[in-house]
Amino acid sequence: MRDTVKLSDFIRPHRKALAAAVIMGMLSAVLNVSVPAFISRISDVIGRDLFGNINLAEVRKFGLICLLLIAGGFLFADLQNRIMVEVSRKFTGELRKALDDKVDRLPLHYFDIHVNGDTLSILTNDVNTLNQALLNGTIAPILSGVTMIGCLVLMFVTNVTMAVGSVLATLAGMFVMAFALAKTNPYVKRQQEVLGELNGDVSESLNGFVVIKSFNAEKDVRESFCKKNEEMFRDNLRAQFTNGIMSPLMGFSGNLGYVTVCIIGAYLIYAGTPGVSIASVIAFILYVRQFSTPLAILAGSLAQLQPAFAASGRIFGFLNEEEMPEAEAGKAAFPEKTEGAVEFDHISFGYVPEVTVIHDFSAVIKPGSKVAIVGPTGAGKSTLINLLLGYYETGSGTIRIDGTDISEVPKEDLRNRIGYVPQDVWTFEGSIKDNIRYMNDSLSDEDIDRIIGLAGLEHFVSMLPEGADTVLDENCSISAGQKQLITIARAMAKNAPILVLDEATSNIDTRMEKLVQAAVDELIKGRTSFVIAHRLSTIRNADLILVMKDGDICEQGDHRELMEKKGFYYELYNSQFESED
Amino acid sequence: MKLLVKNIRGKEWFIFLLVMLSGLAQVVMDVTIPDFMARLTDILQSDRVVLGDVIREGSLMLLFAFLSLIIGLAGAYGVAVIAGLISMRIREQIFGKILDFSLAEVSDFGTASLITRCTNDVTQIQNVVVVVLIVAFKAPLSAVLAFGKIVGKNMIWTITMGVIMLFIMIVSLLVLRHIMPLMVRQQYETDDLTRFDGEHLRGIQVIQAFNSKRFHSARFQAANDRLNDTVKRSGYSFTFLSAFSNSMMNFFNLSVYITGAFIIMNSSPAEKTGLFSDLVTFSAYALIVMAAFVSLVQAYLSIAKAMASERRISEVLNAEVSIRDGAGNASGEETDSVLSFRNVSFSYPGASKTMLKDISFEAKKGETVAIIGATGSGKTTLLNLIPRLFDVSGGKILLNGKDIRDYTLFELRNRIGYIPQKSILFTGTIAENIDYGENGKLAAAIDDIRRAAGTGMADGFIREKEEGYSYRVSEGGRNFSGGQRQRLAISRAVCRDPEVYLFDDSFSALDFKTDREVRSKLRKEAKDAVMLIVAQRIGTIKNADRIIVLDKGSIAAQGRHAELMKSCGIYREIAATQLSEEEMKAYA
Repeated sequence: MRDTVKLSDFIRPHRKALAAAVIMGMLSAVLNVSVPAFISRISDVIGRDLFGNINLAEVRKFGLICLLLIAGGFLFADLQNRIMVEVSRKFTGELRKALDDKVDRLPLHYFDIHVNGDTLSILTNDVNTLNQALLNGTIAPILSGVTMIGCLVLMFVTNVTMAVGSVLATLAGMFVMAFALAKTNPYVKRQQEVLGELNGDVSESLNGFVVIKSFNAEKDVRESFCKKNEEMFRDNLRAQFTNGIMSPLMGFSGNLGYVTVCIIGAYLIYAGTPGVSIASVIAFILYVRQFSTPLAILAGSLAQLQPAFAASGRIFGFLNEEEMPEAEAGKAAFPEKTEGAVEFDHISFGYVPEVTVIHDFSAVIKPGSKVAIVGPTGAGKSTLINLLLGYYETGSGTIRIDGTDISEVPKEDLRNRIGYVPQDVWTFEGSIKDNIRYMNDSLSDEDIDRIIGLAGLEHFVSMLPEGADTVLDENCSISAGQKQLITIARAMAKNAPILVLDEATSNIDTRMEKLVQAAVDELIKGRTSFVIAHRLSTIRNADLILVMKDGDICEQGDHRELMEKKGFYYELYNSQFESED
Repeated sequence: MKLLVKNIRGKEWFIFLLVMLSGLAQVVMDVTIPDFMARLTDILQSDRVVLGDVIREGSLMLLFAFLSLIIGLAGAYGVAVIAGLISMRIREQIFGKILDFSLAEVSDFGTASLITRCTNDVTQIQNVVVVVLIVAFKAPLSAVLAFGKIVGKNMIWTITMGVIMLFIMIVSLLVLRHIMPLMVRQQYETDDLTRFDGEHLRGIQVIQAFNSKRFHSARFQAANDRLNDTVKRSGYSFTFLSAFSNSMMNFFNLSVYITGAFIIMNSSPAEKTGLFSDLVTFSAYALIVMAAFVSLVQAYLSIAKAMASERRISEVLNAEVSIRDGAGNASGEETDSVLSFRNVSFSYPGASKTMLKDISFEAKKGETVAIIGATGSGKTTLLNLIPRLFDVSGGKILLNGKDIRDYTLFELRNRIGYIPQKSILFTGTIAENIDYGENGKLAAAIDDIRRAAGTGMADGFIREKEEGYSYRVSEGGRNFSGGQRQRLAISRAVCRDPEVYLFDDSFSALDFKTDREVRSKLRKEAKDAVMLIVAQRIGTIKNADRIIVLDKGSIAAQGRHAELMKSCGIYREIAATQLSEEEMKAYA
């Protein structure tokens, strides 16, 4: 069992720096507070000899002290700021890195049930909220807390009765504050969640923009967004209100404390309590006044920290999501040289436990053979590939490559051995060259050019003004077929012993496909390959055709055998040529 | 700023007024309460403490404090309402505007940037609204009140105050000049991070398969470092300024006393007493003026900081939408064609390359027109022109004789059933996904949805789900296979009952049998509809009434299968890769 990751794990490495910042902050506060004290000394000096010769030397002396105090106060405050800014930079950087790494360790299933935009909001909005709070909301409450404790001690030393009175008055305010915070907490939490949902809405709408437009769905999409937006407003209203009432509330409780102390003090003097002088009551009152300022700051910070806690809840909820089980390194390993023998041994699997998609699937694939997986849509072809690549754990049964159970090998080793062209075309923002080279830094530009040629991209690339350096981004008008060719080139560049092509040529015209197919066939000579295709012409020459139906193999053999059998494959194959009337 | 003012409406100005009044009242309270405190202290210091006096004065003070609390609460509520309303409205406007965009604007701004503008930038604005509402009324008032008490008291001190305030202002402006570009950069770097994160999330499958985590982590890390560095620099400037202002206030206080000592020294004895008491009051009230001034400067800085976000939001709100409604009332020409392309040419906005040249063809009621051609020959581009995802660069497209640019977009798209190359589904139930959008008619009943799913051959696998049509679709339809997604996308178009179907390679993930069955059902269900089918498979398009062979954006040939087999070399070549030898011979 992995330990849960906590906020403190990210704070701990910076605890020394944070402590330093607090100390700097305190020094600066003490220095700044003592400036008025020395200024009043100057005032005393002036007042003392108002009509005589003012002691200018003394004025100068105190003035100099004040200057030093001011400079020191500024210096320490600046140091504290520098430390905090640096800590927050590092903290945020580390947190974002951890989140980014986490994305890679999640099982694919996570993305089946979560909206990307919401996850994106955790990675951006929630991290920002937390960072803002760290930067602006940590030192101030600590300083206020320390000041308050200092005041409290002085108060209790001076007079216990009055101290209790003032503490009670303050506590009443604190109680109301805590009540308000607790009351709004669910809304603040909800606010971060709704922000995530809104993010999800925007991102999903942008990804499906073509469909929204051509189906006149703008109104519906807008309504759904507005509904969430209005909920956001309501949650936000409560959170913001709580935030806003902190300072008036604390102001009142400070005043209440003041009056309470005055009354108690007056009573004590009136009753002639021993040890209570007018001077001590006045001194006490000064402490009470000092006490209320940090109290207000503390209240303000707490309200500011509240959304940060909500954000932190989401961030660490994400960081503690269950991860894809990873085999221990060194537990098992593939043989040095991959032969490419693949064995599916009684595999069954369902994306959700209740619904099995693959039932008891078994097949033995000899090294170097070309295996085609055919079957009607939804038969489980891609699922099989997902299992081979280790995206999901098999429900039961084992998949072996060269005799080694793939679940016992680190995923990285497994995937190093497989070149993959997925059904859904995906390229990243980068040049065509980088998209093809992708992690194979050893490939020279000449190699890339050769692969571009093999993948049938030569003509397309030569037409681009910047050739293979053209950046693929949202502004790039490149057809789906061309993108698909790039993903094929990417798999070619990887040059792995096992190749998986999941409908890799579905958007490519058949003449081009034939050329690419020839190149791929050349490439996979002596390697094991899995090809999923609907155009059965492309797989006629496969060594083994696995015909899948409803999650199981219903026939297997090569093209000739299966045609002779006149079974399901025969039907599928001939359906290509039937005309529809 | 305009953005904010525009978004407070009608009665809300009363709330605004309330916030203002509450601010004013609080300032008055803030000035009055110390008087009460002083009076209480005086009573305690007097020779004979009368308990009743203390209680009386204390109760009065508490009453005042309570009043201040109530006003404060009301003010806080007003601030919350206004800030919340403004940000809600801005968010709604941005999203609404994005929905008005055409594809060109979306790709100009970039998806990631639009997402941050809609959320993160609005949050920045909201935070500032709160600061402004709280500070903007209180600070000037308390400054004026305090200044009233010291005005004309002493020229030298007033000048000192002015000089120091000027100094703070200059430093603030320098800081402002330093952080403004940083703020702009910060938001754009946030876009970058959002983009890389989004890329990572969408490409997770490939990234894992290629073990390319490190590559993407490095890219992300670089963007992360850039952003953090910018945040650090702007964050530091802000904190620097507050520490600096604090020190300057102390420094001012000190200079008043020091100069005070010299002034009093050199003045006539008669003036001395007055000067000394002036000195004390001046320093006390001048500090209030300065504190108000500093908080105003800081509020101004916050506004300036949010200006970067405001500008980004305004960019979206003011963006020119390139594709707009037609007048809707222009009359068309008499024609029996449902869809006609007349010498259409097209190049993508800002690109010099011509994607389509001189495309002309007609499609009559109930006809099927197929488009075939090499990868990148412009097939998808051609289809995209019909629902006006892009507008033609030359020539025109007519629907029922009327230029498609003369329809309102709503009316035009109501007549079209588009099945894009990538079958995008949305989070929601299956039923919601099939009955998607509007077609100017009533929402589809469950029977209509079933019928549509039946035509699209999706009914079968939907029924297998326990929840049936209420089954939840995940984002993009990830919980369906490629073929199932295509069938749902087809059903979605069928449910609109359109006049024109646009199939963009929409049968590619279907096996041949399903492909054929879907098409024959469609033909039966939608007898009168025009079908425009882009496909790679000869089998899919063989029976079309007209096949258009596209080659590098131009029509190489058009005709029926049999004609093209004889006359068109490109078509023959494509067919040769798919048909059996016997079949090829039949056309030789």
